[in-house]
Amino acid sequence: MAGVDSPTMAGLAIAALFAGFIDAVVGGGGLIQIPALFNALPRELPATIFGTNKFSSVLGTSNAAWRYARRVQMPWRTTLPAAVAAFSCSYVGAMAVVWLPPAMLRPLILVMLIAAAAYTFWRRDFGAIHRPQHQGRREFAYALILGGAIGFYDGFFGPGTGSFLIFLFVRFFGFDFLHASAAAKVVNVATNLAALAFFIPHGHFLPMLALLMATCNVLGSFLGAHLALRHGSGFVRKTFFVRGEPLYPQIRARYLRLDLSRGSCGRTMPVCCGPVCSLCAPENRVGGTMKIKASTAGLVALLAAAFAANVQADINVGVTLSATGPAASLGIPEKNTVALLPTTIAGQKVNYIVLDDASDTTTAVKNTRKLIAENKVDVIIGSTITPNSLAMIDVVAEAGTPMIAMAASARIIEPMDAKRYWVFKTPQNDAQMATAIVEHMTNNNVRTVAYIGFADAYGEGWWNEFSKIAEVRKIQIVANERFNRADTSVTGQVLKILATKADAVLIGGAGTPAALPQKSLKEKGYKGIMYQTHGVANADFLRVCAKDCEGTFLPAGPVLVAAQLPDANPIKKAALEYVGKYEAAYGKGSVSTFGAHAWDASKLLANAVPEALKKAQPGTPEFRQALRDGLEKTRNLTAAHGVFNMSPQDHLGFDQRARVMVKVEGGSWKLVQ
Amino acid sequence: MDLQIALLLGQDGVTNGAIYALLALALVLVFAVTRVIFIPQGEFVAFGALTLASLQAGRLPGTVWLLLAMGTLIALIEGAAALRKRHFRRIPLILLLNCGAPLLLAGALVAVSSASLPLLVQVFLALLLVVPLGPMIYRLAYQPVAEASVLVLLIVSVAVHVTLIGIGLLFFGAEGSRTPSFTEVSFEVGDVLLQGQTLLVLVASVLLIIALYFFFERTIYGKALRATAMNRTGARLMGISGSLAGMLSFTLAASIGAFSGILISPITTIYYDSGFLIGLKGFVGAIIGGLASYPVAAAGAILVGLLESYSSFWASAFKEVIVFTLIIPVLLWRSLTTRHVEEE
Amino acid sequence: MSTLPEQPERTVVLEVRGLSVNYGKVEALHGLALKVHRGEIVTVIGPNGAGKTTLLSALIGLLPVRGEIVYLGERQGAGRSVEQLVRQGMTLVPEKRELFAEMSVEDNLLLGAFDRYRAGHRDHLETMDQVFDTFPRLMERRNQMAATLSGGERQMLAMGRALMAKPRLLLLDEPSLGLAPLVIKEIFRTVAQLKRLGVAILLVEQNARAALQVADYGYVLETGELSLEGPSSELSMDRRVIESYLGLGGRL
Repeated sequence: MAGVDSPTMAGLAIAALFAGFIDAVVGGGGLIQIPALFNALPRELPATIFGTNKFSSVLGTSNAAWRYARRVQMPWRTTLPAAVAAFSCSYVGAMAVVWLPPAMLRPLILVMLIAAAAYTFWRRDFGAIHRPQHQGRREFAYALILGGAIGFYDGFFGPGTGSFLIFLFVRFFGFDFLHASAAAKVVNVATNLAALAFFIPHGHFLPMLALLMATCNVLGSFLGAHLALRHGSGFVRKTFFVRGEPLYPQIRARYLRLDLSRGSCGRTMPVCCGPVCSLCAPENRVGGTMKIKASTAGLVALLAAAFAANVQADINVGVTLSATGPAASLGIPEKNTVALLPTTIAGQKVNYIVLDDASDTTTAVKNTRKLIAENKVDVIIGSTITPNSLAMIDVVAEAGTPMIAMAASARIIEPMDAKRYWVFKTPQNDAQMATAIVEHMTNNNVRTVAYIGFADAYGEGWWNEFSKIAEVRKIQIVANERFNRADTSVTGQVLKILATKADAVLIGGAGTPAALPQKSLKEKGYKGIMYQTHGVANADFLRVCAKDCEGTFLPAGPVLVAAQLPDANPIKKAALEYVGKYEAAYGKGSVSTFGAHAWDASKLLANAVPEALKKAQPGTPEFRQALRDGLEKTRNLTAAHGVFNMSPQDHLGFDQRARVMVKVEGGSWKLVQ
Repeated sequence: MDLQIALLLGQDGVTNGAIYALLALALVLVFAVTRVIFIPQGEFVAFGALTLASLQAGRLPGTVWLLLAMGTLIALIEGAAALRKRHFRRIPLILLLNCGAPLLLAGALVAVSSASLPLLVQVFLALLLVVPLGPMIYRLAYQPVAEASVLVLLIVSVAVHVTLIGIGLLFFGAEGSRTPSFTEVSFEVGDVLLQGQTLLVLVASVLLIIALYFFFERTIYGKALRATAMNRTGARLMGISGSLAGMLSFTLAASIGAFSGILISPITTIYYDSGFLIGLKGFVGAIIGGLASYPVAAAGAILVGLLESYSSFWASAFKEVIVFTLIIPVLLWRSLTTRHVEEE
Repeated sequence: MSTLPEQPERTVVLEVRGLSVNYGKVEALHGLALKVHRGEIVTVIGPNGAGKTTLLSALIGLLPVRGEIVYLGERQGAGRSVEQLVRQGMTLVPEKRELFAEMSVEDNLLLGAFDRYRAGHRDHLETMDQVFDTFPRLMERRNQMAATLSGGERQMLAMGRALMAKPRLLLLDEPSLGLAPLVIKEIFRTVAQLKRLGVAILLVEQNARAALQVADYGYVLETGELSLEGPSSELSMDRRVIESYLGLGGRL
């Protein structure tokens, strides 16, 4: 161990401690250890550094894998082949480190970097709604290929392997995050062992140092796992924030690198995809969310169990919504609204058990199972987004529990079948909104229209609905363009639209990014009518778009302009009640249309529960059946978004009163009479 | 597509390309001088734009806190070092520079309602808040590992990038901002309006590129940076220390980034994470220039801008895919033809 | 050229005691002791691989050392750095010249004065004229890229660039390396000239004959240790030196 003095050793020991800690909590500890080693031992060969790093991390990883295996049922069918493939390819990868000239490394990494970034964009266009679940042979083949690819990467370079693995297990095998983490740890142990099997016999290894670092790594991993299990996701979040502060100057550089734990599972692999991403603020596109979810799941299970013990006799309402993750900007107002819901209905105490599914389909399903099995809920409200709600249908139908979705797609309740028998929803169908736009166009003599939408499922979905209805109404669509949420310029698309001289333009985007095409059109002198979708109905959009959005039309739930509704409209009172309650709790101007869907769900319940109570006790299958029947019989129930008239065929029951056309005027929403 | 549209698309491409070119130049500069692949370059674009937007909204920009925090951290580190070496006389200066100046700036911002200030003063303040972050980040994140391999520096860059993105989300929130135009002038080309602001971006970028040229060709500090890029040991022997060159190049990179952000924020909505995308396209330009040649990097960046513009017209749904897939062969070609004479 | 005030003749500029340098585990230099006075040329001669370049690199602060270095009456601490020593007037002309290849001769010279410029001295144009006086060839080539110069011109440029810093102690590493005999002669004539300007020079050379001709005092460095020392006139008479370095091997 030439030239390793004791301060360096101490520094490396601390780095290893941190790496183990970070590995256990969020993953990516290798990104601390490798630079620390490079930094402390500038004269050693890269292979020696990698070998030493591997040795110390293999113990930590094994420790974590073992801990997971005790808690989680390991999906061995997929994990084992992946681990075996990973083992052999990792060995090859380690050989490559020794054989490849370092000069080749640089361009290679640059290319990898760009490829990763390109992939990020590609993913946004993907719009995958549900994750494929491969079965049998295909799953086996996938396991081999993915295990092999990641294995090579780990042997060759390494940082971020754990996060890559989790991502792939979720993406390709439909695992939830907890199982994915567990499986990832097992594969990771295999790759580490393989790399070691190469490095140690070839002498690329500093035994004393490796032992010391391994000890520290395990210690850190023990600490991290312990704290993470005890304090849950809140702790994980704090770890991210604390990391910027130095413990003492000598390790500051190493310490700064802790951030990579976020990066490794963040930017290059957004959790964000599909319609989810499109309808939401980009809030949680930052890394780290995946791991938070994994630990949230565990914590939530514990909390839910604790809750369940106390609350048997009352009515239990299970809520799963997307308070974090890409759909957070919708889920948060919903969550806020749940806090305002009545705690008694017809004299019976109501308990709300709120779980966060982090905009993730598998978590939503898991939450649903948990709510049904452990909390014995009588009804489920959720989830925020369409993919989650669709996935939950099977579960609630199997358990015979009614469910009220807060997601928009008509597919949640159509076509009616034995499963959807149990499913209701409160938001208006996109088709309803699109019809409103087309109607408005017809009334204003719009003959030709150009469409420009997000290059993702939101834009696609609107295109499908809108083009169908427009065709029926003989409105000619003269352009169909796409843009990305993150684009800085849409000049090309706008020029193309301008060249068509369309009477009107419909922009199929959500949130502030939808302002860009509108502003560009205005700047380039477009004089026609402009339409937006209800996805922009928040205050930030008005702020960003400012005067360029004056005169824009959009369909929205009446709650957006509650105060302007004519007094004769029954919805006015119901909507104002919600707006008043919400703004009293969360401040003036804080209300959004999204939270009102949760409010409406509770209105439906309040209407159906009294009858159901007469038939059976809460907590029994009979009560759930009665509640479902009651929901289906909802007649003339006025809520914040409209008037419900359910039927066995229609589990939404909204008519055209559920949407109004709104115009942007003087920087605020104005009802179009 | 008629000629008029082609011209307008070209103008749009060149305008965006000019911003990419500025960032590409900054990336080449930082890489040549410090061997750091400066992934967080784009964050300065976002920080510049969003800081200006905060100032205009009359809010205290979050970057003030970052500046204060990093300043204090550096003061602690430098102060401890000065104490160890018994250079007591340097301590007041260290404190003044790293803590005093940011405090003064923060105080001024609290005292004066920034929303009512003239635009140019706001721009100046925004630059004053964001640009010092460049050298501070160098001091904190890169200087301690200045002699490490390119790979290690790259990993540090990724770390800094992710940290800054997180901090950006914390400070500015998930929603985007736009700042008012510097000029309301517009020209009619055929039946399409051309905004004065887009021309301003072009002109300002070109002026900045010219100013950079003069800096590198005519001033001793610019020459010192070039010298460091050419021969690190030689430069050190002339007393041009690696950390001085690093600080200087990071200051320039931060200025270029923040300035670009301020330039484009009137023509597009900037989010806390928009910078990465813009920076990435600059990066692609820089890679085309092999991270070494300034003119080729600038040309490459403009090429990216044009490609983006025309593909958004022809096949808007595939714009990013087209841009990035066309880049990959260039990268492969470059990495195969470039000779690597450097250390590593 | 010196900026030093009048001082008694034998001021010690540099004194080294018990200097050792390690490359990893290998000790490259051990227990060296040497002195350089103001206005004196001291040479260290020795065969290839004896540690001559290591000595200079260590002195200028590029390598960590053990032992005592007293420069301008001040003991150098552990925190010494190249930049600090340059500021204090120590300048190295390295064996590999380390020029800024794609810059003009003039810019190369200008950067030699970078540290003085930074410290607030704005006399670089006058200094450059003095350098052009010393090396008229550089004057002719002033707008040419450094990369296009001949070997001798490069050595001149490296020395000229060092002189732009107005050094008190100039460390010269093998100025004759790879140069034609005539050029070597010219270079050494210049070295001798510099001495008259009051600069202390530590000259490391393999070309012992040429070095001893210009130097006042000499040391012989063999496998990391100083084996002999003495006034250069005495050294050039020494039997061992003649046998090993001057005899038939002498090139000049």
